[in-house]
Amino acid sequence: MLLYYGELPPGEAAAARAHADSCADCRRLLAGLGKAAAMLAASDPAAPAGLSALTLERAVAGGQGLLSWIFLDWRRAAVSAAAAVMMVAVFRGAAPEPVPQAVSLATIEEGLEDLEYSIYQARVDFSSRDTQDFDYKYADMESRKESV
Amino acid sequence: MLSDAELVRSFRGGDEAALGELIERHRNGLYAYLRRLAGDAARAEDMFQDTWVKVARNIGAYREESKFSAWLFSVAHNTAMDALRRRRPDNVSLDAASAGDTMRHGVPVPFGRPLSEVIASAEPGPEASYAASESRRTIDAALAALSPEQREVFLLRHYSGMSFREIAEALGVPIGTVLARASRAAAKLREKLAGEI
Repeated sequence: MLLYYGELPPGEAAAARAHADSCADCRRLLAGLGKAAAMLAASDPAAPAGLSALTLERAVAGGQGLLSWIFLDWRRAAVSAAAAVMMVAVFRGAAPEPVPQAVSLATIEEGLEDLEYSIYQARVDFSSRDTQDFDYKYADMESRKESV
Repeated sequence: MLSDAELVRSFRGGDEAALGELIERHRNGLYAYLRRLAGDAARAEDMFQDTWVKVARNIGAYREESKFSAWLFSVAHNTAMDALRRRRPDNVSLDAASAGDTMRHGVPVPFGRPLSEVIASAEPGPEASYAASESRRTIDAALAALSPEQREVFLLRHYSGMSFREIAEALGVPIGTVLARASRAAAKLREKLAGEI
């Protein structure tokens, strides 16, 4: 992914490219991304004519309205801000309990996949570290045995 | 040609034409991104306009250390998500009912069915050629196979030019999660487009 989008540092990119050249899976993945990008580009709808002008009109009207309200009539803004703070203070205690958010099955599954992969990695790390420790301890015991 | 940051400075200084230049410069990429997310042209146009209204209102919040396009697409993404969350299947039926959208996190998924089928039946005229495009049908079907989270990351990376790290910041999720979603998206797209490659 990082190689395709040019987000790898030059050194790592060269190594990743060399790997991709010799790895069929990586080549297929890169080809798939390239194909998806080309198909998106080929079928992208152009923005309708007049949308920019209409948008500019709305954006300038909306933006200026707020800016002038804030900067040109700062006293009103200050009074409103104070009122807002008071409102928050008054109603804070009466705030409703947060409603639990629905979580999709796909999200849970993805989270579990991530978690399972982390556990797998931890196991691999742990077992290799444990083996190294064992080898080291075994060698140490051997040398102590020799010295005795 | 002035950079985006220079145009932002000009707009902050009161030059409205500078905002017009920014809109024009990012028009097609932003519209295409919103069009893919929204599912129909009218909603995409609303999102497009709302995005730029927010940009104009909050231009003071933009920091020049980051790319303007990254900030713009973050605003657009949040605008689109808000709009899609507000959209209720019972009162906006044009897409939801006809497309049989899938609901996830309370958000209708516009790719519940290939978008081309929806557009082809609902929007004749200039959109028809867009809908008729074979390439578009294929890519829509492939995108429909992605989860909303995978599609979100893939489309943001494709259209915004944001790095994965910037996308992680914009979405408020760890970079590892973004990369995992992107990898799964790439794997599914490869599978779905296998016959096309």
